[in-house]
Amino acid sequence: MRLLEGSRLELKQVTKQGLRARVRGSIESQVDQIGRLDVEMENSDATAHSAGGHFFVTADGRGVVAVASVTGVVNVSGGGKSVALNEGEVTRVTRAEPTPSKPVAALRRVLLSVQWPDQKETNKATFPIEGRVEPGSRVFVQGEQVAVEAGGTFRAEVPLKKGKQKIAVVTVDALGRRKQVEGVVLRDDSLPDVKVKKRLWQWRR
Amino acid sequence: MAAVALLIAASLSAQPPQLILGKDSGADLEVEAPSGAKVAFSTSVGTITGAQRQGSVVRARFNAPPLRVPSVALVLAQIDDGNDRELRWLSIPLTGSDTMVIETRPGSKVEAVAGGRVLGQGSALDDGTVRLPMLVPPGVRTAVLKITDKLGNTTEKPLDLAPPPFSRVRLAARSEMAPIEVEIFVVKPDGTPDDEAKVALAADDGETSVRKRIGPGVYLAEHEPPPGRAGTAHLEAKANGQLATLEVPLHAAPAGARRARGSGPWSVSAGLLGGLGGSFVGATAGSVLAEVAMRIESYPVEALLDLGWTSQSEVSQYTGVPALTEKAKAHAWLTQIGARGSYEVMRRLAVHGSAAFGLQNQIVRITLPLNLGRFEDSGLSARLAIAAGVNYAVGPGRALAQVQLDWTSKRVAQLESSTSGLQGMVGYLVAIR
Repeated sequence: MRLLEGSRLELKQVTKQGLRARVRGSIESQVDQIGRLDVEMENSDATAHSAGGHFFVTADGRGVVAVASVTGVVNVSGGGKSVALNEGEVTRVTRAEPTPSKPVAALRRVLLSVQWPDQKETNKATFPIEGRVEPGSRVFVQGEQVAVEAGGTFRAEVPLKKGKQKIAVVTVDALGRRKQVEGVVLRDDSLPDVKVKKRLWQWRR
Repeated sequence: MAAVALLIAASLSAQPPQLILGKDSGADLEVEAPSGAKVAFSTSVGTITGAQRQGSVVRARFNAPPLRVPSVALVLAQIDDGNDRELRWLSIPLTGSDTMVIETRPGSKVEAVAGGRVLGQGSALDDGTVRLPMLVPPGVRTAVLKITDKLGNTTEKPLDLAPPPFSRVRLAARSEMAPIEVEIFVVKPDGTPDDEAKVALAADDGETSVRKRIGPGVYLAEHEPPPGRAGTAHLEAKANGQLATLEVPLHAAPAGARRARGSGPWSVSAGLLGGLGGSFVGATAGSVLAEVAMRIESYPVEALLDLGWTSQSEVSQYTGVPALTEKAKAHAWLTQIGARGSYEVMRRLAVHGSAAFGLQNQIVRITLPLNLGRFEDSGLSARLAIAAGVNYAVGPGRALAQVQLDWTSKRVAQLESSTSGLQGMVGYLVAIR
């Protein structure tokens, strides 16, 4: 198992035949044919089970879970229902839909759309951004994870330091693929100076 | 009210009443003057041209000065009618206009504000240059520059507008015979007449004094040259730290010429008043008063002495039994003393109130019922008279119009009622000293 950035794994049972663990964040798992892996997700009753294969599990800790299979078959259960996830497929579980969704093929590309304000110069201490990713993906702005809604939208108020700076938005999708978008923002809260070049009534002199 | 309307019409006016230099070329002046009177206009800044008489109105054009610095034009209309000279004053505030250039952050919006009023505004070009067209009314010396850059950062800087000084005092002679009466016109920095100015008049020699304010921003002063002095009197008026000078050629007073009204520390006037009205019992009443009034010039109150006669038409009395009703007709000789306070509401026009008390010798002729004959009786009675009205200085004195309430005792000299009543009175008092 490989624990991806910003993730937490809690081992619950370890035997010679297999492993049972609870995850928050993302893990990438490779299960041998002779082994067995059960992954529970934090704040969700969904469970992913694999008896051999390569798959990813993502749980945002707020009930949104995405499971994606790279190779082999992963059985995902939750809400009294179970689905078999074949190679290249993704399923999701949310609070509103506690049963695993019908497996669908993963997007060929990582989705990350960021909406920057028209004015990239400001005198404010924070800078608002919002965007959209594939549901079940995780988003990091300036290295800090931000909440992603069930529909895949996210928004953040980015703290700014004075001057010109780069803002990086990174997403990691259900298959562990990354995409990064950057924008340059200027924070200038200095007061404008003024210099009188021609005073009134100067033509008198 | 007719006198007030006449006075307003007679004042000097300008249309428009204030100008923006560089935008307004001038203003139309108008003053009312008696036919035959000579009217001369003059101003402290700018020029006045094209004076024309149309009936009793003289019109002229005030031309704004070419310099666009804020100032106030002190305009004088001098009306000479025989030996009488009237001075009418007017101030025309002239708002200055000029463009100042400043440099700030590109794209910024700049506003110059003084006392909540925007004097000018503009936006910075790409090179940060802002051309700020400014309108500066007289009296505004400082402003605040508010600069808001395109990110919303705002800064405020004090701005010294540095308006050049201008004269706020002018004086002119009302007479050129000793004692010389001088009017001093004082305005505040914004051009409004200054009714609380500290005014002083000085001369090379002789005596000078500032007597009183006689109109909005207009103060009456007097210069008494030394006896036998001839030539020119050099006068200096000081008001609020400003100085104005005047040279007056001294002329000997023609024989019989009227001495300036009210000169000296006290004045006396005398005249007649007549009244018509009614008593409170329904009789028609009339009266004639000869009055002498004395005033100490520094006080707006004068002492009164009245001698007069009053009469009322026949009234019925003891009417309980119609057959026994008497007819009574009363008249009285009266004397009373009192005081009258005046308040000048505008040049020449004052409102006044008076109170007087005295005695009257009441003579009553009774016609008895049932053809029993007639008889006459007389008796002394106290009287009180309270009046309110207006007076208007015209000619050698002033005209008065007032409403007077008379109170006298009842049952004097067989008159069951009294001669108390209300009368409207008009009269004229001649200034004799």
